[in-house]
Amino acid sequence: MSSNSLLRDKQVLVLDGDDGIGAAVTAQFKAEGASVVSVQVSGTDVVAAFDQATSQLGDIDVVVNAISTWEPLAPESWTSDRWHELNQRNGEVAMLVGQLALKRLRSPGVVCSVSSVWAMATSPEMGLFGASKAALGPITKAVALSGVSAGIRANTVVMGLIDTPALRAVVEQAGQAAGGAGSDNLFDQTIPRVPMRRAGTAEEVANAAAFLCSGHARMINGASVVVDGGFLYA
Amino acid sequence: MILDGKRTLVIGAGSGIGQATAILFAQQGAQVVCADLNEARALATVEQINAADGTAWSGVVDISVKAEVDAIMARAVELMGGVDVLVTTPFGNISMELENLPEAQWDFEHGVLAKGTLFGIQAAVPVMRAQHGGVILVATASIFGDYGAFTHPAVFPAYGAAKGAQEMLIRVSAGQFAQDGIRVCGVQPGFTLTEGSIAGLEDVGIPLDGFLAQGAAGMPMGPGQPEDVAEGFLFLASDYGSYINGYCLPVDGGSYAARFGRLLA
Ligand SMILES: NC(=O)c1ccc[n+]([C@@H]2O[C@H](COP(=O)([O-])OP(=O)(O)OC[C@H]3O[C@@H](n4cnc5c(N)ncnc54)[C@H](O)[C@@H]3O)[C@@H](O)[C@H]2O)c1
Repeated sequence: MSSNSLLRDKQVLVLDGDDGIGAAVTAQFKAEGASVVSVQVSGTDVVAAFDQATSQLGDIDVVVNAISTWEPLAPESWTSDRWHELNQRNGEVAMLVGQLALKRLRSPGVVCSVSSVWAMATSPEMGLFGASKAALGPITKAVALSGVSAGIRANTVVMGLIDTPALRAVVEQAGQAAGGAGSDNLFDQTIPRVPMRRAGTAEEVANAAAFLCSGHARMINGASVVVDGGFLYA
Repeated sequence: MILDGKRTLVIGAGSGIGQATAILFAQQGAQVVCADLNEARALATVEQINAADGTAWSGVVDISVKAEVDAIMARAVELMGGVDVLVTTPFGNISMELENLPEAQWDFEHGVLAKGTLFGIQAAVPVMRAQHGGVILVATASIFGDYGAFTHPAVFPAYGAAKGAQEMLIRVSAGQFAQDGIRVCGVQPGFTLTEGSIAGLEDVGIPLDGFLAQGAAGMPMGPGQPEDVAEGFLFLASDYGSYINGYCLPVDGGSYAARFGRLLA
């Protein structure tokens, strides 16, 4: 897709996970004219990521939390340790991102959280992950409401079936956790459940995030924008 | 530009959100047929677009009459060679009366909103299917009628029910026509300053000043301008929304999020 310089002169911090979404956000935001610092956060050290962005960019206009720690796990395999880890990487990181954004973004600032349809719908294997991701909705909306006086908006992009190598692997793991024999094309078998009859691309998630972080979206605040080809609602 | 070469039909382009959408689309490179019940107002929108070197034509349509919707779609196809994006934004009126709601009032509001949405979809689908692609976008509602019943304040029975019908039509058609390359979505404006909304409040005896003062807590960023809401249509019509389908996007500054307890995920 051609770029329209939607994010010209914007200084952006991307918190990158390892599922391919953060990488696409970084690439698309640069294509839209932004200066981007992309950081792999270790644990919950969001402060270090903000510090790194501040030292490289000066002011920060936009922060995208593209970290998702995925964990397909059937209920009988749930453990407190896994739950704590998921809550830290998904929920606590989102909490810290929101809080730091309110303190440190330059106005007009924008926060974009990346969540998943599993935060809004469930299956036995995705319940634990979904519960940890569900924290992003209320947290991002709270930041959206709290940020108004400081000129900061916040929205969530809720992704559906997205085609990256890591997310293909998640679907295969979910199949195994469900007790399936293990096939190497469960991802493709899932596609007919998407009304658009295709998976989305990481670029499409990144493009939605780009629009939401641009000045065009000046009145879009506290929204959970579902980017799933119709999986959830259609 | 974001909509370069897109052939669009906006029904409701004579005022408010529809007018702002037609103008923004033209600024972003789209050709626009501006249709409205009020011919003079549609023409005024076209004149504004053409004066800014955009490309637009006017048309007359009553969206609650199927034959007229089919006819305006045919005319748009004739003028532009196809229709890539249909936007419908007509507004009728509102009433809080339920116990003594006149049947004619129910029928009128459902004609403009529910049937109008159905007729728009019915007219667009064959055209878009033949082109292997298209986007259908409907102005629904945020604080006054999302999914009909979950509304707070739930005060407009016929309007709210018709808004609920619009959103269900969006979801059903998003599922049915996705395989034809057609996306169907809604935009849920928060309270937006338009002729329609201000007159609507007056109709139910609420002065604008009082409404804004009383409603301030529920409108974190204040009331919207039609130009703000038009950006939501731009998002969903464009490639930035290429994987968004069956979804209704609130463009309300957070009013929807401020109504505590709902749709928190
Ligand atoms: N303004 C708001 O606060 C608000 C809030 C939520 C939802 N909405 C929705 O957004 C849409 C646009 O609202 P607005 O405030 O811009 O309204 P508006 O009254 O300013 O404009 C509506 C336009 O639709 C035209 N129209 C009316 N009946 C028609 C018909 N039968 N066929 C064709 N055109 C017709 C009118 O002539 C007018 O030009 C409506 O669906 C409304 O319900 C508005």
